[in-house]
Amino acid sequence: MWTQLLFDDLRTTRRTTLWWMAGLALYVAVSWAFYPVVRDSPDLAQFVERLPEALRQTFGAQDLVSPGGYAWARLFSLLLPITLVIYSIRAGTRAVAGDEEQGRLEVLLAQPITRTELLAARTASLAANLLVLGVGIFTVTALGARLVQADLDGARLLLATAQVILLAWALGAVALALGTATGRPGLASGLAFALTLGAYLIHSLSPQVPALQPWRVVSPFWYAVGQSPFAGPPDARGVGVLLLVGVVAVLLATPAFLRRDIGR
Amino acid sequence: MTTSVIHTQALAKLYRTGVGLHPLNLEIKLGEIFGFLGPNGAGKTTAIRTLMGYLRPTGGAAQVLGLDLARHTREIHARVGYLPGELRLAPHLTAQELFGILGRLRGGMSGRQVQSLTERFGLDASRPLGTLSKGNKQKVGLIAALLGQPDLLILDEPTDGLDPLVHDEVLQVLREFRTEGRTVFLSSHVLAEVEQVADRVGIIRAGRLVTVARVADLKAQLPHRLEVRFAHPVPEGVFQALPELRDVQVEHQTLRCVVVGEADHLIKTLAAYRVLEVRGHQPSLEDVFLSFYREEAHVDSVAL
Repeated sequence: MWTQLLFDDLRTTRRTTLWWMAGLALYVAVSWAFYPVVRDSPDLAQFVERLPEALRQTFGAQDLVSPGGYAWARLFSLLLPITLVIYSIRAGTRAVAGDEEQGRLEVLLAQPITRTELLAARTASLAANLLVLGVGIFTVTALGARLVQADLDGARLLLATAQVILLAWALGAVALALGTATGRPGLASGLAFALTLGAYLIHSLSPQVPALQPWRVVSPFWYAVGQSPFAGPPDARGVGVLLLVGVVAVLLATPAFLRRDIGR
Repeated sequence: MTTSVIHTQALAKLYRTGVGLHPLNLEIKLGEIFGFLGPNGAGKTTAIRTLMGYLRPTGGAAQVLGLDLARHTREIHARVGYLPGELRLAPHLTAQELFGILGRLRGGMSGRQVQSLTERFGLDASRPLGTLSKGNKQKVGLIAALLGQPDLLILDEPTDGLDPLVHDEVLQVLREFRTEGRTVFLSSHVLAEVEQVADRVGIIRAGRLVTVARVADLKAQLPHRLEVRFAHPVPEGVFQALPELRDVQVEHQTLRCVVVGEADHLIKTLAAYRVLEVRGHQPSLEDVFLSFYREEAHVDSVAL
């Protein structure tokens, strides 16, 4: 029965997801459209080389000229993950707490379904929407790179896409879990965004602040964008960690959801 | 098969502030329409939402359709149609789409039933729910509750926002529902409608069930106001002497009084005179209701 709930939720959310997809695709496409200009500009390459190392690391701008370096700096190191996290926290908040506050769970929960099934369906719906965005981003990036004759490694692109999608999954699932446990959408999205900002702060400051370096492993950003998947040996372990974080967050919220009152 | 459809044993939902539902003992029988009456804020919705499993009780237990509420919510919901007091629907869906979703969750529904109900209530099921008026949304909620032939209807203020014609149609649907041997538990603060359809009523005040009785019995307890017109003037003292009469007024040839309890003495006394006309006022549930609320001075301010 929960698959029915999943399909119905996907139908409700598909329009939002498609609009986000359109925005992201446009950003990716326009980024690639300007790639030839960047590649053929010797000044820019020299400019990047003259930047302080710390700054280059922070913005993922060690290498702006190679296809992988460009994709990393322009897309996967910061803007795609941040945009996807915003999408995911919004969607995760709406999934249970948002709908509950709107009073829309009332009629649904009067049907022969359990709270666990509802939670499973809404969680799977978040995952499925993120998967759709991931497939879209992978496709548009690969196509865009090909159109401007940039030779982008397919496997590394897949890893890069998986990492940013799973970062969004982990933080969106935290928002979903907080909302599910408390029934408060404001608290869920607020806390999840605060967590995101804190995690990003640790991630972005730890290269320069030695005191923060041991802490970078608690930041989900470390597992998603700790290092460029387009350079060095590929490491897919971070993907597993992020997947697990999201699943565990939702599982931890389940007992509270089963115990508490719905609506009020 | 047990004949009690809803059975609660000290079912309570108390909040830290002390408000909520105080231990409730209630038995709703198979095939009856039970009216749950009380002003806004009396605890009707809390009781209903606890029975639906949305609110976790702070005490007691309940069986719905013979199944334990705490353990068999899914099985119960498969056989219960529910209309929330505050109905909120996804604005982008049409009624048709919503019925489709709910029908699939209930494991199939008959399109004919949906069609006959939408026609009966005069609902345009092809418009997005967000564009519907309050009354039309309420129709959508009612049809949603009736989908899939439930054995029990739990309706929180079902006629809220409906125009008089649809209002009567809804009450008629509930009567037919009862005719088929099924059970209705409805809450209302509109006494007239409950009086029209309910077999029994429960009156709730400040989270406590004050009384449960048959509508007819409740009315019988009430004083009847009587007006008798005689052919000739009558002595006042004769009627004042009767213990069953109160507020006795005799003006020329007319007696006005309130009869409490048996009317036997009065009838025998009247027999001695030539009576032209006897007029009685049926006490309404409104009177019952007000009498229950007036008993407690501190609830005088409750808006009815």
